[in-house]
Amino acid sequence: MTDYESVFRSQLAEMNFSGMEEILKAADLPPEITQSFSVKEIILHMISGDTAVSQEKIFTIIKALFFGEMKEFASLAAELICICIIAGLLSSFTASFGSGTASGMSSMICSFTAAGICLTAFYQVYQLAVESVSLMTALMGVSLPVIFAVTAVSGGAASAAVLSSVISAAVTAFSSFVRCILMPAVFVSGIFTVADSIGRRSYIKKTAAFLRSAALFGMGGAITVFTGLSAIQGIMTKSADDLLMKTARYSIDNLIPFVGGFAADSLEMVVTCIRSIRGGIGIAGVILLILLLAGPLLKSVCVILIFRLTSLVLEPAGNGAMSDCMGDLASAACVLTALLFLSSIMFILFFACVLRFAPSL
Amino acid sequence: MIESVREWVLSVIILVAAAAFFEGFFPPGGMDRYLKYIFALILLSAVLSPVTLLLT
Repeated sequence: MTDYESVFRSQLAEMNFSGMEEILKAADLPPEITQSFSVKEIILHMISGDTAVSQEKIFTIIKALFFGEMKEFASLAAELICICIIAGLLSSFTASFGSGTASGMSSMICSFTAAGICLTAFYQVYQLAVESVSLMTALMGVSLPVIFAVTAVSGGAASAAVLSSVISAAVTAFSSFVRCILMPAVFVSGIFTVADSIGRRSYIKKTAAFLRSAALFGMGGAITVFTGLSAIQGIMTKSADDLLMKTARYSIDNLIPFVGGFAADSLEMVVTCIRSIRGGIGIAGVILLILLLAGPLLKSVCVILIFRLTSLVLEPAGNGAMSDCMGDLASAACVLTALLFLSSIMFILFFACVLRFAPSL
Repeated sequence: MIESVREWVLSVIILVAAAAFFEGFFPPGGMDRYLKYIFALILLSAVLSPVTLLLT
C-alpha cells in the first residue's frame, strides 16, 4: 500500500456517509442497486482508477425498469382505449337509441371514467416528481455539510463559511419553488386539460397551456438566478482561501527550523488527498442524484409514451376530444419530466459550484 | 395561499364538469346558445377570481 492510499484510507475511515446511503434506500429502486451502493467504495474506486459500476449492470437495470413500467401502464392504456371506443360507439348510435339524452348521459359517464383514469396516471407522475425532488433536496442536505467540512479542512475555510449558508439557502429555496409552485402549476394544468375534454366545447384549454408555459418560464428564471448567485459567492471567497493556504505553507516552511520544508510538503500531500476525497464525495453525490432521477424519469417517459400512443389510437376511433386530451396530457407530463430533469441538473450544478472552489497550494 | 389555490382549481373544475354535464340536457333551439353563454360567463368569473382577489 502506498503512502497516498494509507492517507486516503485513514481519512475515509473517519468519515460517516450513512446519511447519503440511507437516502438511496428511501428511493423507489431495485434492491440490487441500493444494497451494493457504498460511497466509500466509489471514492476508493475513483482513486484507484477502476469503474465503480459496470456498464452491463446499468444497462440491464435500466432495461428491466423501463419494460416493467411499460407493462404496468400498458393495461391502463388498454382500459382507456376500451372506454373511449365504447363512448365513440354510444355517440354514434344516438339516433338508434331514440333518445339523445340517454346516449349522451352514457357517453358522459364514459368520458368521466376515462378522465379519472387519465388523472390517476398523471397524479402518479406528479407524485413521483415531487417525491424525487424532495429526496434530491434531502441528499443535498446530507452531503453538503460533509463537503463543506472537507472543504474547510483542505484550506477553503472562507469558501466553506460563505458557501455553506448561500448554497444551503439556494437549494432549499429552489426546491421549495419547484415543489410548491411550478410542479403544482403543471398538475393543475393537467387537471384543467382533462376537465376541459369532458365537454363538447373548450372552456379552459388555453388556461391550461398558459400554466404549462408559465411553469417552464419560471424554471428558466430560477435556474438563472440560483446559478448566478452561487457562482458569484464562490468567486468572492476564493482569494481569501488562497491567502490562507499560502500563509499556512509559508509559515510551516520558514518558521519551523530544519524540518519545515518536509512538513510543508507533507501538508501539501494531505491537502491533496483530502481534495481527492472531496471530489470523490462530489462524484458519489452526482451518482446518487442520477440514481434518484433514473426511476421517476423512466416512469414519466413510459407514461408520456402511453399517453401519446393512446392519443394516436383514439383519433381513428372517433373520439377526437379524448385524443386531444391525451396529447395535451402527454405535453403536461413532458413539462413535469422536464422540470424534474432540470431540477436534478440544477442540483448537480450546486455540487459543481461547491467543488469548483479550491484554494491554490 | 395553497388552500385558496385549491379552492380556485376545485371551483373551476366543478363548473367545467357541470357545464359539460348540462350541455346534454339543454333544450334544442335558440335557448341553448344563451344558456351556454351564461355558463361561460360564470366560468369566466371563476377563472378570473384570483385576479380580483389580487387587485383588492
